[in-house]
Amino acid sequence: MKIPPHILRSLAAAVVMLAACLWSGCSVTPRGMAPCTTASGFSFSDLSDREESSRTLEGVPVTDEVWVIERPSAPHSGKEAAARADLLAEGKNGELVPIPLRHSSYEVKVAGILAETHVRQRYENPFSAKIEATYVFPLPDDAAVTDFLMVIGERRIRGIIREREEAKKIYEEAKRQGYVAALLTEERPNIFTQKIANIEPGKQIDVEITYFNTVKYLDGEFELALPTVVGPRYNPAGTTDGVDAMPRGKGCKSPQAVAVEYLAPNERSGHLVGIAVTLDPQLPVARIGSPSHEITTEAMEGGRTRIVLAARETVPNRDFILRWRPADKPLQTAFWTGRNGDERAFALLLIPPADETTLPRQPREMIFVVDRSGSMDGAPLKKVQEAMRACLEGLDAKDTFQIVEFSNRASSFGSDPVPATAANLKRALTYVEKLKADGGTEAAAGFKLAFAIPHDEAKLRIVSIMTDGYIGNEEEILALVKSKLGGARVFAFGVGNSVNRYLIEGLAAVGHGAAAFVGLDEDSGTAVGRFYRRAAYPALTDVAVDWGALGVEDVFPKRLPDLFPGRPVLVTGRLTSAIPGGATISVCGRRGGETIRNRIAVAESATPAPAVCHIWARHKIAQLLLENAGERDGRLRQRLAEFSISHTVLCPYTAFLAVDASRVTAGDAGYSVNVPVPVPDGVRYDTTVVDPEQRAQPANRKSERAY
Amino acid sequence: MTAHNTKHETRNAKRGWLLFGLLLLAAVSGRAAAAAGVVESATPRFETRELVVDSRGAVGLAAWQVELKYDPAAVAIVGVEGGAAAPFGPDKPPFYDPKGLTAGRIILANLTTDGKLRTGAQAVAKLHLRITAPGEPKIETKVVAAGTAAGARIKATAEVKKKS
Repeated sequence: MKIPPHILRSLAAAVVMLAACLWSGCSVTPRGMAPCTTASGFSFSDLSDREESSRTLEGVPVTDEVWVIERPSAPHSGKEAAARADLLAEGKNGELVPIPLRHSSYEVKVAGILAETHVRQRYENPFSAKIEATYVFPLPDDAAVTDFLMVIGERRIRGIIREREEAKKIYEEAKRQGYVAALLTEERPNIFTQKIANIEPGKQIDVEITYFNTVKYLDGEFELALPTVVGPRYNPAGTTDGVDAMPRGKGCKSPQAVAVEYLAPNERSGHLVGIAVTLDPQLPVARIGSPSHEITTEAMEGGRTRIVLAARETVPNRDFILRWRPADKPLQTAFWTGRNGDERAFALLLIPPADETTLPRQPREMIFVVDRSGSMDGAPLKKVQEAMRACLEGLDAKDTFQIVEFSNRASSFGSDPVPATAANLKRALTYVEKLKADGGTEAAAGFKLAFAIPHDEAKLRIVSIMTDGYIGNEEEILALVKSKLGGARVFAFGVGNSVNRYLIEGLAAVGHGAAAFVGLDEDSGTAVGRFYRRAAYPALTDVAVDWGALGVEDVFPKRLPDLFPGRPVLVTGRLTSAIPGGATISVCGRRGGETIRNRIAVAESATPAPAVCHIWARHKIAQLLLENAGERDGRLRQRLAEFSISHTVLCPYTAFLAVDASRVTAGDAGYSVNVPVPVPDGVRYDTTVVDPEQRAQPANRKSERAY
Repeated sequence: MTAHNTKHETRNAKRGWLLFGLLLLAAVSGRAAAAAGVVESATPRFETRELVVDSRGAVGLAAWQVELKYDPAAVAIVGVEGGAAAPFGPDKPPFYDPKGLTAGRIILANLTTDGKLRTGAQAVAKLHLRITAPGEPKIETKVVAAGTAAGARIKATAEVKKKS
């Protein structure tokens, strides 16, 4: 076929124009924008003038992301091939896997119920090329992150809080131009991502994160919980903003917004964690202990105690739990004030009576919702079965119950609540004993079925979930429970050594109930039995606070939950004026058939801690997020971002950013390396972490669903 | 039919060469601009500046608070570090009040309990900046407070400057 001459001429003109474009530096990718990176990690825009790069990057597997420094005609180091060999180093038979995170340390100061924690993460580049390290790590779900430092040798650069997308954009620009930069973002209230760009070979960079939160006071004991690893999450089909569980080196293949890479059972990394707590309980303490780790304690001046890990360092595969019990009578309702610049805030810990036997018992309609997904296989499911036995045996003849179990789908023991007769309890126990863990975590299906069970209005309905909480769609579940709740209460029970506390606490909050946790080494029967026995005795319902002469606003939680024995509630708010002398507040509510009013004297704290203001700000953010779970529009995001920036407390719509603008690093290209972590103690890798290739194959549907 | 085709061919060829000419012109001017070192305003650059506080009197500076104002469309602060030497050295980054940050206002502050205080001009902080406008960014300074270890106020001025 003959091509018409006019087409040939047009084609020739187009070719010449393209050549001119390339000659002048114009490319498909506009200047100042990121080179378009393909799935294989190649940058098309850089291949034309970087032949050496393209040769050395040839062997890069599709799982790696390579980025190129935006620098005109810079000489190429030619070290990428060697770097590749490093990055591909396999850990076999427990061999060390080289990772860029060397050490994390937690330094905690506890004063009363306030905890101030400094986390220091030490990043070191063990490879022979520049890297960007990405580490997805947990913090307590109520952590108010207020400060961020990037430490390079003796130099300490304080990060600035910014709107998240703007911070990400600046970080990417700095990364492309070869500057060392660090970005901290919040993915969930208890999951954070730390990125550090342009760590040169052999160089070390630290980041320091400061956060404030409160210790819990549960069943007469104080508890400090430090999570050290994010558990592998399940994401229902169609989810894209979840938290994925991927094998090491496969994170970039995840369809989810966040991917956590896990070390295989035969691999380990050199990343260890050190924990030290300085405890100033501000009251005499009878006992200090940890159910999770061996600790050593040392008495200090002023009634304080220094607590460190007996082994100094530990593998980050379980929560660190520290508990201490007051020596004298149980704590009474307490009130603190704080001041940070012009801002004043308060914290009120409402403590109900600890002894439930003095309270009237209310007949219950218990709906147990049991997670029997793959991540519950082994010890966690055994703990749940232990707990269920204790719960069922604790039911009264006037109570009714039903059991719902879920994994890939939900089913139940029966269709309606049944009376807690000996025969029904025996059948229910057999049903529970026969549960096997397998498949996905379709928690929505479980809750939908639970709330669809007919309700007897004469009884207090308690929906009680037992789970490790390893799901990536927390918002969807919280929104669902909020919409279906009606007059029911949700009691959430977290089982495992590294539970998703955000989900468990969130369910209790939206469900106006309470949360409890039990580790795999703890006696779940006793703990859960006590927890559910107490659920039958609300110490105070329809709770409200009369603030009297106190000027308060933005008080959280907005609706106070019922108070159950052993489950105090923390109330925080902003003080609009100084507290007048002799001020009192009244806590009102109903107990049985009568109205109760407790008057409490309140005063300014002798040393108003700024921490109270940070904690109030964090509670305000958490409340707004919970209230709007699943339906956050741009206006709310903007409002949250502005509040977060003005109070320097991180939220999902802001980020801490630090760039070292004083020096451009050497080298032209780098690799993005995700920090792989171990699966939590008690969780099986093979039932929770799935290779993306296997997910795509229909023959492996079972593994795809196994979480 | 043939006459129409020839006319069409000529028109297409003319259009092609016209486009080529325009693009060539743009390309040449682009090269010339790059050679002359003209910075594209859309390409952000990262630079540092020193915050220098000059305190007068015989007693050294122990605490300072400086307000910075700038055009947020032209410059952004992407990190704050300590100054050149003790007591406000690189290991002592200042604190900041972010209220007004989005509007181009930030208050930096620091204090020291170090006994070796200095008088006169000293770099108390290093600002890490992302600059999007060509030329030197304009950053206004105002000393909110400057004081001695005893808490007495002292007179001081502040300026942001390139490290000499």
